[in-house]
Amino acid sequence: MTTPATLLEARDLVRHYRVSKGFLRGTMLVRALDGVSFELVQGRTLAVVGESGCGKSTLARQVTMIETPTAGALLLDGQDVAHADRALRGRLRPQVQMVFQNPYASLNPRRTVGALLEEPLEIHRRGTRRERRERALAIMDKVGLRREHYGRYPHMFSGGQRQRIAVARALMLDPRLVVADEPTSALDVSIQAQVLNLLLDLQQEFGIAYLFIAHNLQVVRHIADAVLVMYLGKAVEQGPKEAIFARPLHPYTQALFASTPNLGRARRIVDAAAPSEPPSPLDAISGCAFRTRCPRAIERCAIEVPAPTTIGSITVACHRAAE
Amino acid sequence: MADAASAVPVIGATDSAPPSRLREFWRAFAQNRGAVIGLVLVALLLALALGADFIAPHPPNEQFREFTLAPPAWDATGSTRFLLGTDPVGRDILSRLIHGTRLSLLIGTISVAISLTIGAILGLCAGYFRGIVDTSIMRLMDVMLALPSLLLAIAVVAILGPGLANAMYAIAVVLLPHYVRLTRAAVIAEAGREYVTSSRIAGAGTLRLMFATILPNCAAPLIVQATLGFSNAILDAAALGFLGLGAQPPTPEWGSMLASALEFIQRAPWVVTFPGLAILITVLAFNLTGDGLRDALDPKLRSSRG
Amino acid sequence: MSTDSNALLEIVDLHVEFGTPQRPVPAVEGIDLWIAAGEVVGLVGESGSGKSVTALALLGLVDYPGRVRAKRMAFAGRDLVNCSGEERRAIAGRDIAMIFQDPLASLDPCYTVGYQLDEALRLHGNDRERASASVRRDRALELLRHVEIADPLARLRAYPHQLSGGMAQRVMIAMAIAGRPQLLIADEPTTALDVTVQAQVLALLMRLRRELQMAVLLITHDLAVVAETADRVVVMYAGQVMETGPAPALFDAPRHPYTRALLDALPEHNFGRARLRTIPGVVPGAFDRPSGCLLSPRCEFAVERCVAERPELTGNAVRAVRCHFPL
Repeated sequence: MTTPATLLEARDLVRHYRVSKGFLRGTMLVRALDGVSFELVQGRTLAVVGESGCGKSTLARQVTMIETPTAGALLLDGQDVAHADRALRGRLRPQVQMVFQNPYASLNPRRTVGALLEEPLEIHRRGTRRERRERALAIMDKVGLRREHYGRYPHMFSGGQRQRIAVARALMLDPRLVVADEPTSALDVSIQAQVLNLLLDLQQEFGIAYLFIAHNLQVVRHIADAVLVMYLGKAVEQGPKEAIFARPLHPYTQALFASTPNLGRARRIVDAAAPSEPPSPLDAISGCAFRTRCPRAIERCAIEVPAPTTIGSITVACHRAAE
Repeated sequence: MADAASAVPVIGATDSAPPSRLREFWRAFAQNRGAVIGLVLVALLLALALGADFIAPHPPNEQFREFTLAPPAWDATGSTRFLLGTDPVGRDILSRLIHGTRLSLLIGTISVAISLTIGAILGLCAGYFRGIVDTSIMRLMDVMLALPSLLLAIAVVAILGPGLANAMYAIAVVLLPHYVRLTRAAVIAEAGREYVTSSRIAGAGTLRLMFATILPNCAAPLIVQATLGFSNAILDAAALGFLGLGAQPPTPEWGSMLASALEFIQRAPWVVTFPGLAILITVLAFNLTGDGLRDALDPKLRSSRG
Repeated sequence: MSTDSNALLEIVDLHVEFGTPQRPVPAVEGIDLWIAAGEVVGLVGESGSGKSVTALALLGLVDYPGRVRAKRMAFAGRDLVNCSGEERRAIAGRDIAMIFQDPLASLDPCYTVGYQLDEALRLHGNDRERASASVRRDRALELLRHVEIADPLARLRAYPHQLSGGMAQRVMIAMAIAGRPQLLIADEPTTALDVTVQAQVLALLMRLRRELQMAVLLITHDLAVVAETADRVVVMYAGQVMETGPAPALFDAPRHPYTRALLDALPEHNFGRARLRTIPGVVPGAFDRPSGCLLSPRCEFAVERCVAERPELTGNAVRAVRCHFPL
């Protein structure tokens, strides 16, 4: 049995934005992604965890090819999409699709469900009208929508149903990779369970790989095979799910775990495992970006950016990880 | 896939077919009584315009030399032959007003149609591409807005020559910046939304994104502005006609009817009053309808499930 | 449902409905709620449960066409149902304060933080504060320090959009406690925040509650947050209270099938399972509310009696369940 192939590989992915500092005050560089590397195996799920400003949305935009990285390589099935020309990106597009966080904003309010589902096929000129309709109905059935929903408009559906429509739409082009940007964050607990089950079922049936962006560690634990923790544009820790949940090495990951409310821990309030707020990506911090909030920061952290090191099966970027 | 017990639950079991978009829209629209009145008036005006040849008692340009400046039927010296009286050269005012409806609606429709189409496209380009395209289009619009609208219309007519058709083009030019601005604002708001990104990821090209994805979602404010633009167009046409730059005699356009009758305002007030009333009622009708449309199409007021 | 007559807040048989009187859409259908002084009550439920509407009804914030009626709604002995607008304004904002989910939407973007704090103090401060601007300013600084905002002087001059989510929520909390409230209603206060910031804000709320002897009504859909902070939990579904009980006990041993199903759907309770357990069906819509138990179409234990007869809330002040066959 061969090891499953790597579907997506990122090498030192960098994305900078130049923003204006105000009227006549020049510009500055926002390092949204600052050298991120990871691998995503076919048919598996890589969860990307991080808080606002960590760069996960930027990462999603690079992977779905709506932006080109400033530097670094992004290999989809061995082909570099980071520096691909428009034609190549157009050809590869059907292989990478996306499900968004907000089910109320990600569906065109003026289109019926049927039109929404068939649009990707129309764009790529696949099949006749009848074939497109059949495929739409088939996928609708797979995600738990009924035939009569075909002619209805998004505003007639609840949040959970809209996410199903969004998932169905993402499947239309038969993608190999689906980027799911916090797809269940806006949903109730019971609906979240349904949608997560759906995503896992589809993964099993079609062998889709997921790049699953989430901030809820419990959801991550259920759905991920591997975990990538990001902070201010850098990958601070990554590895197999079991290893990371068993013993996270990076202080930020540990803070995330400590801050996550837990049903089992009755009446305990965490005492600022990571005091103060996540800094804005506009602030430049020398050395390790987390040092301003890290309970274990030492002098070295202010001077030198920690390089990723591998400890066991986990790759972590912290000077003190090995202790 | 799994059997029924553990299958993905098929949801939406309780909803029957929800009302169609048109019905939902009508329900929202009909709540506003003024809007419905406006719509009824517009329908009436449309009927008058279409059936002018049959409804009007006399041909609009036929002069009855024996009955110049005849007063309306309810006056002591009036007759039912000319219900609203006649003008200085003996033409029946009622018939002229009815035929004038056709002209006014035509002016409104064509001016707004031209202006809306060009304006929407320019606004779409400005809002979608931003940068230099946006700047150049908007600065041009700013220049146009800086000129008083009537003077601008007069200038255009002066270049093209007087006449009804040229008046329509002039009015279209005057209305243009409003549509460009409106479309641009709506496009900028919509272009960042997730459903647009979703279409982009599905592979949609620029043209499809602009016209098929974004533009339909900007339609609501444009529709409202178009209805209100109608009344603007009619007023501007009346003003141009009043100045002798629009419809030329003997065309029964309301504005020029006003102009040619001004000197009789003391002696025969009905010659001035009725065209003025016609303009008033028409503008009011379109404004009421436009207000109703705005309320009905306003997404903030529309309820959504979830 | 008997309630403690010393309760700070007492709501008996609250009904809120929208729509027309001919075709009413019930949002809250007969709930009882009471909060003792200094107690933290977690009000949990999913969308459509009516939890937010309950809080709004309490403060008189349900606008036309909503209709509110209750057998009794009293705060510190004062009747809230029949009080005049003026009386209600005296209570709401000062003795009862509320913070909302999205702080950046709840703060007025046109005015500085200092101005908004000053306004809160002008309306709800004590006599000295209402009288003097400099006293208000000192108190504003004190409030910002109390909510752990660094550099409060600079923050006074800031506009809401210049604040991060967590800081804006702290400002909201500062404005809420300006009037020294006895009850703070927090409607999903941390849902929009990052998880590390959420932990800090929750810790802050609990600390304030201890220091100010304040009761807290925490409305949320996040069961884990409630488990960590609440003394007592009230579980709502489709406009009714399904179960109430003390915090750890209710989650360890739920007695209502809905509570059990909610807990079962959490990923943390499905460790090792490939598929999460779900609740089949959907929340009843406006016009298809069952005449029997509201959960009966979706409950795995439902029998004929459940479909025919709507259960009453039975139990005592400590623990109560609305179910014919509690677990």
